[in-house]
Amino acid sequence: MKKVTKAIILAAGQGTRFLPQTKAMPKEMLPLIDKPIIQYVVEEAVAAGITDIIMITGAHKRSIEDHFDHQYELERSLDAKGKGETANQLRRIADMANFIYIRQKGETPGTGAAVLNASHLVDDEPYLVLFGDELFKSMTPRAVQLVEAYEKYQAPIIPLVEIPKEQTGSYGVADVGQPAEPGVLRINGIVEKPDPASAPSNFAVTGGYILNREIMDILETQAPDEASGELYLPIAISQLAKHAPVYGKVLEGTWHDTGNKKKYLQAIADYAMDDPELGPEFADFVAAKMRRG
Amino acid sequence: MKTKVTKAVILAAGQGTRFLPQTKAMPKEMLPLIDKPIIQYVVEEVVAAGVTDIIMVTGATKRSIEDHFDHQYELESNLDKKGKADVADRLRKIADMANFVYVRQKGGPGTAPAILCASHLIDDEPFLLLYGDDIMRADKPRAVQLVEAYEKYQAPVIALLPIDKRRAGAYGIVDPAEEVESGVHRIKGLVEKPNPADAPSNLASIGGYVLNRQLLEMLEDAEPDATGERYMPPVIGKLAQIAPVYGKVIDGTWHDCGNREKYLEAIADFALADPVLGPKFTDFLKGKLG
Repeated sequence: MKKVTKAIILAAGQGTRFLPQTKAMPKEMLPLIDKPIIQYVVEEAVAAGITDIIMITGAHKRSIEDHFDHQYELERSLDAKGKGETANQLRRIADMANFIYIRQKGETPGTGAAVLNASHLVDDEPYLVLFGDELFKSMTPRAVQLVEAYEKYQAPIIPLVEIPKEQTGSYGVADVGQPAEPGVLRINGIVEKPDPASAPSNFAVTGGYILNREIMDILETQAPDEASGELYLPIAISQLAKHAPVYGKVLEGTWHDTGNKKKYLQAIADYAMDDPELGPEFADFVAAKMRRG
Repeated sequence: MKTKVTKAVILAAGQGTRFLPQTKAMPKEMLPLIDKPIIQYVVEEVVAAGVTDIIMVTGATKRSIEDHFDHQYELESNLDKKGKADVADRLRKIADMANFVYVRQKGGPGTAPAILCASHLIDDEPFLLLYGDDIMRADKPRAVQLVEAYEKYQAPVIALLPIDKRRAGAYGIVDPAEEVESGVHRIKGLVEKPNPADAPSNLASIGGYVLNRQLLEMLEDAEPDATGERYMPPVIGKLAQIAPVYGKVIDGTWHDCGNREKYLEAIADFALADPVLGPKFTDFLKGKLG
């Protein structure tokens, strides 16, 4: 059995919804309190046993590379100030994994096109796909939950989150078959943004997949979506599910897609309030603020 | 002597160690408040006050500040192509707001040597001094309030905020001589972190100053404190003993984003006050608070 040791993190988006903030910095480097979003994503992958992290990036993403590298001047100056523990924490960020960066190429947009950029770096082996601006707050990291399911079923795994049925029009929704065990379901396909009336289930497909070589092969020949011109990864997964087992794992945790300002703010508040050190004071502050109106 | 305030010095050389690991590869002044870096709020504030030349005192790993206040041709032309020309134009305006001048901090730690790094760029003229991570949410920008007071009194003006006297030990507290008009005090000194019982007033000096050549010259002799850093505020206290210095009580909400607690509060304050995001954020917080 091949172990999941590689992760592909998609981080090439321009982040135009966060302009002007993202004029000169990548959206994946936006902070949740005191740590960039993408570090949460990397830590999650590492917790699941990943040793090689392949980031698909673009222009103006240099600070991601700097963040996951050593910063000698800063580290030495912390050492000199007696903050050796902080310096060591910074060093560990660089040592968490092997980091590989690829620039997204080609004119075709879409998640499938982005993943294909890493095709030459994965053999006939399973790999984890994560988005650089999407995270899960959970006791067991999402990637660990996914890898556990993969190891049991030896087939691609996609993450599921239960949503209110009236919201299906905002998500990719899984067409689910028989449960293999509580919380793990066979997947027949993924339907993009269905009307609640025609939605095959109320399970939204979030980011975080364990995929295989066959998906890369499907993506090679898949045509881009006619309306948007994008090459979508969920379509390739649906294609695979027609002739091979694909499973959905219902995730435990709170999903934070930080792709827009509203959700980014919610993620900040959620993490801040649950922080043992910062939480109580922050909760008092916002409660008082809201009382004053 | 020039009497109009056309230059601002913004101090942005701090390492931001209180925000690590976030600030490992990005400057703390670029931390966002929702969708705009803190330092852009500071720049907009001084531009609103008539400043045309902004001198930023920076250090290593601060490059994204320079990139932010410059044109980004690839991004701008992409936005144009996608039919988002209005967004592209907003980005271009950021670069065109002022003349941006960058100097690296040299000469040791503390605000006094930091300001002196800009001394050769300032003639015998008044200038605004702000910190790159210290902002105010105010109907009339803080810098405008300060410059108005300067233009009236033709003397250095420092920003004041009334505080709970029990917390005097956390601030520089001014010793007021006379309230020359409502909210404007001529001051005769500045006491760093006094015991509440010894505090000469409840008026704290916060970030935001209009200073002059005389202060720059006195800065050369700024004394190091116990940690070896040479700070500017005690020099203002000395100047006030020999020349008129005024304090202006600022209308607005102060956000010193120098630590995580205050930064989070600033985010929540701006988000709740945002007409588009505020209502939904309020709903979310209510649900979260239970």
